[in-house]
Amino acid sequence: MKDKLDNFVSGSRPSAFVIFIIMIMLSIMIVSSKSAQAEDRHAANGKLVYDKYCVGCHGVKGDGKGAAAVNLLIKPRDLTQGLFKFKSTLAGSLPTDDDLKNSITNGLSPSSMPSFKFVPEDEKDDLVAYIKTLSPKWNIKTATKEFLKPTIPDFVGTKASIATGKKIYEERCVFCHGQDGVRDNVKFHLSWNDENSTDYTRPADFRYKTIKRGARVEDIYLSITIGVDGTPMPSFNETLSENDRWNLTSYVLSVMGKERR
Amino acid sequence: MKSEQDSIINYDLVYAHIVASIVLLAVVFLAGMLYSLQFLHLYPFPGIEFLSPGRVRTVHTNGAVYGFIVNGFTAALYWALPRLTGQRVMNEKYLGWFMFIALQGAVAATAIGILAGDSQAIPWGETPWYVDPFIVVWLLLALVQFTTPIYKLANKEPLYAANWYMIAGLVWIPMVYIMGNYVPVFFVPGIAGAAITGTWIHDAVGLYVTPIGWGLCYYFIPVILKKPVWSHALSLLGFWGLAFFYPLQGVHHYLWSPIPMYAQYAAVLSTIVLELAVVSVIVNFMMTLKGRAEALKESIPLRWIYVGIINYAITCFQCAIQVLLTTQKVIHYTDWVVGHAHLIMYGTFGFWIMGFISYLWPKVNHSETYSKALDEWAFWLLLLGMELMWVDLLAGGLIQGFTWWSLSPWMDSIRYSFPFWIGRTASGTLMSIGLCFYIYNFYKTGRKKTVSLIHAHEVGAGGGVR
Amino acid sequence: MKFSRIVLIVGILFFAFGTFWQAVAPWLSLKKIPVKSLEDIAKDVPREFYMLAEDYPVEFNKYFGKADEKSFMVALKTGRDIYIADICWQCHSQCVRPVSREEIRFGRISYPSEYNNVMQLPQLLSTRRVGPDLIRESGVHSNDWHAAHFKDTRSVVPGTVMPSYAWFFDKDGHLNKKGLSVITYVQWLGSWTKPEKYVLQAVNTEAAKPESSESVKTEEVKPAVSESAKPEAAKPETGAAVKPEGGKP
Repeated sequence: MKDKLDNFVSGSRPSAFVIFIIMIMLSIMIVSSKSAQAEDRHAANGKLVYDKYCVGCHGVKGDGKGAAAVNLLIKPRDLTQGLFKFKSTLAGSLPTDDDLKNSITNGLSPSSMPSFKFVPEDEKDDLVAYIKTLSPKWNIKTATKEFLKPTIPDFVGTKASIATGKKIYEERCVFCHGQDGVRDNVKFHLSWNDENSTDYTRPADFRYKTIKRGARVEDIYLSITIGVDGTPMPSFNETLSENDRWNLTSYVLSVMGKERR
Repeated sequence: MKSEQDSIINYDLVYAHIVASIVLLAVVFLAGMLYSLQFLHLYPFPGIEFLSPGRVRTVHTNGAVYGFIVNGFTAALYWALPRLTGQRVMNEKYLGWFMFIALQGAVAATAIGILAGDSQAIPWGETPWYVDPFIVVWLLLALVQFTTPIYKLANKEPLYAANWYMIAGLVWIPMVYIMGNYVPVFFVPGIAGAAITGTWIHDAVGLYVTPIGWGLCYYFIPVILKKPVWSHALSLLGFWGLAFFYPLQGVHHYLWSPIPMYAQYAAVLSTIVLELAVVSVIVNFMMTLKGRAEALKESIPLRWIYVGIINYAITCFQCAIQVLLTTQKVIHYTDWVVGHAHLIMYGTFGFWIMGFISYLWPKVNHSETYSKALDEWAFWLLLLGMELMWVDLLAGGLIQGFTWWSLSPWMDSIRYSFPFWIGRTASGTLMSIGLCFYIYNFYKTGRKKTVSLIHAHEVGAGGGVR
Repeated sequence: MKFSRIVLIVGILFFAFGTFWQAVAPWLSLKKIPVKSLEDIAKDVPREFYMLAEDYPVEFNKYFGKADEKSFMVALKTGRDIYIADICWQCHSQCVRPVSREEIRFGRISYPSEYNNVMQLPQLLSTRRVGPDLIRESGVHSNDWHAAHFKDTRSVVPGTVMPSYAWFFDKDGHLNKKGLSVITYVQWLGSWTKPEKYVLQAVNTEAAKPESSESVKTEEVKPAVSESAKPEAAKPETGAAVKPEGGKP
């Protein structure tokens, strides 16, 4: 009798525990699936927005092979790769939502990505949610998503800073960006094995007084620090000190201030 | 008396101008329909430079003015002026036929020039530079041709209001044409050029089409109704109102632009005040109809004319509303203006010309209308299509204007306009079917040589040409 | 007889008065603004023209040679002529009005002096907008965007009603002289209002502190579309007091 009772008790305790665990898991699943549903709804709305504005260049699948892509020089982003050029996070990591929205809102002049600043904010949010469903990379939770928000130090723009920056520029940057920021129409093929590939990129030409990331001073610094993912532009986060990166920014600014040829 | 009047009319010239007018109207319809298909992504000739939609649209607008309206008015003038004055026009055999051929040549050269890409960027004045001098010469010849009988009569007795209008229109248009087609194209750039262009656009409508149209109505309405106009005083008021206020309103095509504000204010005010003149004319015509309204049932020409007058009243009141600077914030640059232009150019003056032609065509052929039923169908289809298009484009224009104001993405205004553009093509189709009926009836009437007894008598007595 | 002559004379006088007030008077008040010739315009070649030479080097070299002021003059003139020949002006206006939030959508409100040049002979203000206004178009889109758009409009902007312009391209699908010229013209429109020196205040003067430059930089994100909305940009530069009043919405 006691054995039976013991058996029952010892048998029932784990089973109650198991039920308890299952209940918790279920509730977690329900909660998480609810948020997943919300996410899905955003993404579904985003798909509609995408079909309205983006599908021509970025393609139905988001692979950057839209009908217009063949006629564009710098090819549209392949959104399925999960590789983004302009972001405030460190090299190799995914951009923040604000980074994506920033690119959508302001466009990437002087590339063929125009500004969509009159698209309503919530549509842009939905669009970002949809873009994040296009690549499996977005499913993996990256550990930290720290993004850089630099403040400009005082010495930027001084003659000394420009001189230091010029030295660094001539060591590190001149190969692609050219002497005095004149790039001489260099092209870099992105399909490395294929010389005839039309998928190429070009280094920024500072004569045009603008870079794709944006028009702020910080944008130059961010490009130097983070690099441009998917292109030969590396990150100098490790190889240059912060002050040197700001000096380089000073020099680039002074180059942009030059008259065009 | 009647036979004497008939003998001074050159039936052949009236005949020729009527045919040209109707043929060109068909071309204008075709061009308009083609252009409207572009908005539905259905344009049948994509990628052909000479049939690019923009060029086809320009053929549509210029064909309407220089082809359809000028030809129609000229035909009616060749009929009405000798009857009004009892005098022949200056010269029919040489000048008349030369003018006919020159006009068709100029219209053809304009159309080909526009399609070949030689147009000028002046609204209503896209005629290529090499056509402009010929049109100026033509307008001067028309001035000489048509003012001669009026001048001859003016030596004998006071002039009827219709003649005033005709003189005014014929005198103004060459000056206006020279101003609009040369000054902003070759001499004055930019904003001042825009002011001059605006003045030309509106003068072309207000100082040629309107006075000649009114003048012809002052002839045809009493003749068809067989009663005098209600008030000669009102007709004079209308004339002076038109003469004073019309040349002042050109800049209202460019409101809120950098054109000096005093010109814009003057344009707005004069456009509103012009309603006085318009009302005087419309009241006059309507009071003339009083007591004889049942004539509208039988006489399709009269019906064309009176529907045109009602459309005219609608358009002009619309004009006074849409010219307000507040309204302009929304409706400028939208399809509203396009709807307005269609109702005034076709719904009013076009309908008047259709009326004149319906009245004249059996007469110059000494036949009778082939089928009254076809005529009715043509009338109702064209009327229905016209009004639908007007309402449709007005609504579409409001949608566009508010979409732009709300800072929605540009493509939203295109998407929201899409139903209205379908509506435009549909109403255009209705009108085209109506025009097909009209032309078939027109063709059959021209062929019908069974002359009724009364007409035969007239022909015999008057020694008519045909 | 006498009366009809009075009609004639008074009619002509009325006409003369109306024409004076509507056409001649604006011309007189704007006369003091000098009319820019093509050479004057070419003193400020927009950067998009140099970019065009780099984007399409083979085609550009074939039709225009080197990218400089001379080739810019040729391209601009040809482009303007094609803009007129293909009746672009009937669907695209060139005038930003001070109402209906157009200064936010397009950019700086139009002012008289920017029209006083030979490229606006005849003026191209236009009276209909099926497509957007183009007077601030410079730099809003890139050269290759325009090329792709002219080639196949609906592939770039889904649902657009603008026709494609196959005759801007040669048989191999490369831009021809017409295409390059039109892009030059469109990229020139409004280039005079685009701030090219937007990031430079921070640098050129030693004294300029980053804090003081901060406002400048953050305001003017992208020269492309957005520079406009600043209220001071709405004021006309020229002294000709002819701006429509009540310009501020």
